Amino acid sequence: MAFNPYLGAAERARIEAARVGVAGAGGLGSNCLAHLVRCGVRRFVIADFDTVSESNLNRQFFFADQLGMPKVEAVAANLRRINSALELELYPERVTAENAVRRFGSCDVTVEAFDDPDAKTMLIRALLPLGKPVVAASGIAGWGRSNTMRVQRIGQRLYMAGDRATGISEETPPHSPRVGIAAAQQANTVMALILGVEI
Amino acid sequence: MKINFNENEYETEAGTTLAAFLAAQKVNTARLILEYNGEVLDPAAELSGIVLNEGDRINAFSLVAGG
Repeated sequence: MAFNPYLGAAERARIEAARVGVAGAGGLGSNCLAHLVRCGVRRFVIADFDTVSESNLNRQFFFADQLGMPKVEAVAANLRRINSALELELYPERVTAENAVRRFGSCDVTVEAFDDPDAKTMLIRALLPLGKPVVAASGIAGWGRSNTMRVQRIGQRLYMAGDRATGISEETPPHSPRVGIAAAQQANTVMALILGVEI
Repeated sequence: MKINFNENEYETEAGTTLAAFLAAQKVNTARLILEYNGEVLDPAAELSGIVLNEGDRINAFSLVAGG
């Protein structure tokens, strides 16, 4: 059986040809990747300098036996358990203004999944001029208020998931459901862009 | 004249610049994503050189931590 048997032939062709960049493999990135792989996307460029730590397990797509592993390796292992036929370019390194275009320039669409707001800003500014969509997120912390999370198009090709207000703080740490909503919004937006349907 | 800022209508005086309007709204310019009439503005753009017109649409927000 072909992976994701619910896809039509035309959909499958578009999805299998797509190459998706995911900048950051933490709460947003790891969960967004799981959704995209389940959709049938196979080609990814994934970058994250970090390793899996215990506090990540409350929201990131890693497991207790992966502590200490580089996140790109751990997420690759997990994704391959969903679909073994993936083509992954993994970069266990920090993305900077200097290497962002080199890393993600060949992608049809890139997901911005960083946690640091300066890094988010840097990536959006580096990649938008390339003419491909960037699917970012801002405001994903805390509990409840699911209905304040939405996807907004900014300009021609920047998409922003989240509530754009609730940053991570002592009062509003990140928890799995709200982070998951944003990650799914990002994945759903990527799929709509690949398939040419309404965001 | 009426302009639209972050999905709400605002009254502003003719001749107001984009820079002045954002300052009056206390928009944090750090980590700013700024959309003006459907285009994301280059961060290097000189906002004091952009004079607002009736019906202009501005969307401006600062990125927050979390991912």
